[in-house]
Amino acid sequence: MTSFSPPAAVVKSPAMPVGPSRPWIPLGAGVAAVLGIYAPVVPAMVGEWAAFPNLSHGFAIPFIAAYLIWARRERIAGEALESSPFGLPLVVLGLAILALGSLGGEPFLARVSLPVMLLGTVLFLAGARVARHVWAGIGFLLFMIPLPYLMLKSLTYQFQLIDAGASARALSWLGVPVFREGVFLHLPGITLEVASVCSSVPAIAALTALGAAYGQMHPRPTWLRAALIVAAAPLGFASNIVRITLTAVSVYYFGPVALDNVIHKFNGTTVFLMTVVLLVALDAVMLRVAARNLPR
Amino acid sequence: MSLRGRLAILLGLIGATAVAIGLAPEVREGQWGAGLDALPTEVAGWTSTAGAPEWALPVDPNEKAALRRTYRRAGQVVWVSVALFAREDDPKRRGSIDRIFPEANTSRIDRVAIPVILNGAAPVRLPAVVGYKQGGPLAVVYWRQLGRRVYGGDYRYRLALMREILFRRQADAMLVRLGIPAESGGALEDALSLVSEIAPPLYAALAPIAASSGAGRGRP
Repeated sequence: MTSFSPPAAVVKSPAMPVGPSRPWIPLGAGVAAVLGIYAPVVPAMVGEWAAFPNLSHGFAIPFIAAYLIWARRERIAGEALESSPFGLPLVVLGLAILALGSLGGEPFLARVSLPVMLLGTVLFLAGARVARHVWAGIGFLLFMIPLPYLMLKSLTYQFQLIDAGASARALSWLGVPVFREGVFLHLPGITLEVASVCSSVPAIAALTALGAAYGQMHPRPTWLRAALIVAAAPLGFASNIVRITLTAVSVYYFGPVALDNVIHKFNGTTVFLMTVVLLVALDAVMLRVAARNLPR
Repeated sequence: MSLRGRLAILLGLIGATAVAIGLAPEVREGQWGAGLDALPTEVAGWTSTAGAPEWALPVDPNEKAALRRTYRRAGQVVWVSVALFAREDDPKRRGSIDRIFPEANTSRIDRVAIPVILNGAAPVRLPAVVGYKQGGPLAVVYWRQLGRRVYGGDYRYRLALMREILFRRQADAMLVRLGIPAESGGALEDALSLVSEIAPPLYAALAPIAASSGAGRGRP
């Protein structure tokens, strides 16, 4: 007597009624429907990415998120399709937030519900095993959503004060005579203002996304990835203070003409590049520490 | 439940939400029955002249209508701006928080809250933004009104506006600002104390105008 072994895919997914060759079509249809209902929400957000240089990283985020999911496609394909009990409640929550934001005139709420809906859809249609591979890519989409301006504005001013205070202290250490008055740095013969455009706060999302994307580039321990994400924003703030200090030192020695230099004029790019360098350095140190602690 | 069944549920929920959003009534623009000109030129012993300096109380291009006056009493000056905003559900038409108080050439900005009794009931904590400029500090005290309801906090106002849009499909609001230069009243504390003198009669004078928009019916 011979025993019958069903195909592996059917064994893995007893609840899946569709043919094993097309198990992903319903999930694709579900995701497409989700993207369809968000079609009215996206244009205004893209408009903000285009209008504000600090938000322009938003254009790259969907592609990076898609890559993060695509890079795990083999592991995703190997998983059985099932359903998680958390899927439907997340879908309902996401739709409720979308309706609240759309009908209540709060675009931030409507936008932030997109990752919730996508994760809920994957959990509901494909289950927790598949969601385990795609949650990072879906979560990455949060970085494309501009923070509420009300919150951003008050944070920006607080960090203008911190930037000005730290820069004044650094200038004193460097022997540059400076009197700090709020966000003003009075140097001999010239006063510099640490204006809102000088703050690195609007770039928090971009810097954190940078840390997250950098952490995904090569295989690393999870704690190291988390550390890179957490460290990106503080490293960005530190880079900004270095930039402001360098600008003030240049102005002190070379006069107002120094304000036309590349470091000051392209402040966003300068801070971004400095943060990348600091992230690479931090990563190298932490990888060395991780390697040293490995059991021999 | 089968995958197709789950997909059907998902599509049903998405469809129902799309219909609910699509069929919701349009947000209406209120009819401001009483014009801003109804604001009296004399308030509690303060007499006014037209206009207020823009460097103290910036103009917001999204204002539907606005009135600016300079109130004086015995050498003291308070600049007043009352602005009406319509359809604040549209982010492009929303009043900007960048234009409530002047930020240019300001070395430091402090925020304090002043408890003021506007209607004889419980005090409302009004935000006062004190900007330090070369010519001396300037305090801008402001509140927003949805009908007769007063909101001092920015977040509380946004929540109230969302409630108004959701349930009444109206998004018209009034922004009242008082600009007080510290020199006119002496110390900053003295200048801020003027708010409790002039704000209640202003609120009382504005109540019929605010109520005429039909927004935010109810007690302050």
